[in-house]
Amino acid sequence: MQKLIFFVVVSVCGGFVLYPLAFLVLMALNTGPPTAWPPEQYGLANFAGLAHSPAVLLNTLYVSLLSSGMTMVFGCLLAWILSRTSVPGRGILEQLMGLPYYVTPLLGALAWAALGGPRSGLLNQLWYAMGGRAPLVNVYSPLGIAWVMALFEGSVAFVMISAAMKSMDPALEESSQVLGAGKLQTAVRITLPLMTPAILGTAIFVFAEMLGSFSAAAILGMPDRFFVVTTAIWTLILRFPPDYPLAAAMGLSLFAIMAGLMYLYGRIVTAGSYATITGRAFRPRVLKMGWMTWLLFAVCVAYLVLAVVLPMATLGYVSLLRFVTVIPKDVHWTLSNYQNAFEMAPVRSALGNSLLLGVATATIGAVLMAVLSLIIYRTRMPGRQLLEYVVMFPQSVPRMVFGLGLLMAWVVMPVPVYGTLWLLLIAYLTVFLPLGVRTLSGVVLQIDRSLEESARVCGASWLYQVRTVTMPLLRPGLIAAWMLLFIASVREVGASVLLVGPRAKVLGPAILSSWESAGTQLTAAMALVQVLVVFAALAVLVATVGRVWRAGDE
Amino acid sequence: MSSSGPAQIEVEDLVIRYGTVEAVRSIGFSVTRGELVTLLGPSGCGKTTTLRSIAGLETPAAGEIRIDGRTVFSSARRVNVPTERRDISMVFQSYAIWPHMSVFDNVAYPLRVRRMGRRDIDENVQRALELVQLGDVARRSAAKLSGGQQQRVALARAIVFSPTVLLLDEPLSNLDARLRAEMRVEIRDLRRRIGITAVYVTHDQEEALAISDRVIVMNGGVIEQNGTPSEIYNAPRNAFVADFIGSANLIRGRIRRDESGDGMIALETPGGRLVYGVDRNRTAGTEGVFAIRTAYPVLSRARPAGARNVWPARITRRVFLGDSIEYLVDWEDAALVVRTRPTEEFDEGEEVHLALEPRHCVLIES
Repeated sequence: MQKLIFFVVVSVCGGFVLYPLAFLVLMALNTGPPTAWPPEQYGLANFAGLAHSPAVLLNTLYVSLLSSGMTMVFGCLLAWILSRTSVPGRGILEQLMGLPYYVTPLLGALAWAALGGPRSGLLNQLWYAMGGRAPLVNVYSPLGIAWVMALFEGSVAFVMISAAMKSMDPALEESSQVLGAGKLQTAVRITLPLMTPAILGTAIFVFAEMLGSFSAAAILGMPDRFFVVTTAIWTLILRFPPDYPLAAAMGLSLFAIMAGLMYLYGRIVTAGSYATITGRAFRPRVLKMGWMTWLLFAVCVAYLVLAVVLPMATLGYVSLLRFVTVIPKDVHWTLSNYQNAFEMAPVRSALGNSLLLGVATATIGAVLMAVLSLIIYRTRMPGRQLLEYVVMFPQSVPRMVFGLGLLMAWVVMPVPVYGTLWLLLIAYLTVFLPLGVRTLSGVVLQIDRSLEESARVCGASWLYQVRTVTMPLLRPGLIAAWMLLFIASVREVGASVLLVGPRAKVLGPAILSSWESAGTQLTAAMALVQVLVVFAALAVLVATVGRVWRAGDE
Repeated sequence: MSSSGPAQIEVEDLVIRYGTVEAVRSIGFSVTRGELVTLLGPSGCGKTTTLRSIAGLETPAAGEIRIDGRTVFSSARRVNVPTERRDISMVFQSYAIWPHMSVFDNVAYPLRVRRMGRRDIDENVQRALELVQLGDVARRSAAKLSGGQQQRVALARAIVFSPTVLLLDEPLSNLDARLRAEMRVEIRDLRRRIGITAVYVTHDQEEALAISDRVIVMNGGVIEQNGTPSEIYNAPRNAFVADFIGSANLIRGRIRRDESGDGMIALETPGGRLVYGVDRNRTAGTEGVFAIRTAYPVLSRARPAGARNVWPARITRRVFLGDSIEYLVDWEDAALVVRTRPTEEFDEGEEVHLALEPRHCVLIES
């Protein structure tokens, strides 16, 4: 029984992860007619084609570097303030720092577009009203994309760096001071070298995520025809006839870079573990900052305002307007945008589908990923390390690229899965494997192995043991995994945009296409509905588990 | 050994490997019905691994294990009975009390697995809890118990279904010293009352000597000695056992055949002193080593009567330990450690006489 379950789970996962990637590789090597399948001719011409248009690649690198730089400034500064200084309200601020992660890049980009669009952006409208001529800010720019992404990723970087700061034994610094080194010397000789692996690792992780990000670049880059790899792939697929081979070559190149970076990240984190991952949480020494405390407090609040409050308020404001304006006498309040959002058939079906998919992904995913975590961390099954590798693999594949592989893999299949919600379900279950397995395995590893062994010694079979001991102890992990998977599904964009069809719309891509075709106000209303669903799920999670969970990746 | 014999657990040629490391190197022993045998040794000696393979929680690389005459593991015959069908019971070092269940549910678990009727379950659980003096906490949540209480719950759960074999993996190591001494006696009494066969793993020699019918001393994956507590203490087989159990002085020398007599042998030290001792049927070549427990040498100011094994010596260091005083005594070129009662006081630098009873000088294998 045990072996049968394991076998089924392993083969299903292996298939889900590897099958689309195999298609991606084949398609990238296809030099015959772009839409023919199976390919009539193989070669490397598609990759050579990439070199002829280096602009897209350079754009991607430029935006990613810019944004990673800003992210690291946010992350390091916030982590240092909240774990090493006596800033008031640290406990609450630390919890709140998780919030920007739940305000998606899509929503952030929409809000900042409404604020800083060159003509009708609210900030620029104010500026013109005050007599300005040229736009004050223009978020339709590489800097704008980087800014929005950095506000979002700053939260991720904060969590990673402050975790490392907290696991550093303060005695390491204290003994330096006892031996006669001053505060500055201690910082330079002890603290900084100990923190370097964590900071470097975070920077690489963030950079890799940035390379594969899509929504912000789609909303803020495409109006000015500024393309990064992900948006370029999108347009290659949407145009007629679609150029699958070139898109696949682009996707594969992006994947190669990202996988390389993720490998490097893994190496740095393991190599640096001497300092950071001791498995113990210490109470770090807190610096008394005097009057500076309030300045630091203001920095934290400012980040939260820019990343959460301002975007939400902007979208809320815009969604209640008939025309987007800041001139008080022109303001006409209305609820018609929400009425439209709930009444228009495509929007309604997208909302319904997203909720349905969210529940399905979370329910199937939580069970599947619990079994996977148990196999990987609780059995001696041969090949379980390989399984762990396969399961974690999707985190080094950009969502968009994974969606592309799935698209090509299922378009040619005689099974009518393409263009239905089933394909989206498959895609979600696959790309969220790392998120779910990491969440659950964290809990699995906390369960003392002897709790399970003693059930066996008492005479229980494996299934009986799982039912009576493992699953009840895993309950908080299962709840957390369910909520995180639900949230991740409802807000998903990158993999979905290529997989939605006329009969299978979901919220993320619907918001994107509404942004392109309908007005800002309706889009804002839809985005707010989405984020409210996410926050509702988050509230349930916090209420049951007691804290904001660190969610893995975008 | 035949299955009808009194041996209830038989381990033969057991080899356990982790990757390329041999944690257990071909050991064998047996435990008779109703006996408590302790596997004793330093951490990493293979004792817990051996216990876990009896339970079926580890898969050995080679060897055979029989419980009650039934082969539960055999590398040659490719038998490996899963843990739950070996009909054994075990107490874990961490107690492994399930925090999501009440005390009652924890103890009732093995009975529910065995599909016992509700009334029988109530009765058996109550009896088991009373045996460990926890009759009044049955409805409490197991997560809210103290360490000592968890230990008792673990014991109750292990005996509630009247198993024939009980395995205990360092069950007392997480308790404080006072509680440990108390539980030690309790486990011994409880086991005698229910007449269960037990294998007990510990690294605490005092615990092993106090609780066991027989002690198996392990080191580096092999068995160093297998004997009763007093054999292990009074006649250590080799230097490792002599050193690991209690503490001992080792005296080396040349064996003088010509001086032996009245069942004794004599050892001539490099300094020319003759030490008389017993050989315990152990054979040695021309060189031999005596082990002498630190509690046995007698110090005195006046020269005691008798000519054998009495020498002048000098106190070089004195450490007051409360229950005893430990002296470092200059004896020939070596320094001997001597533990005396706290009333036998000597000063550092004082010249004394040191006497060794020949029966306490035991020849060990070298």
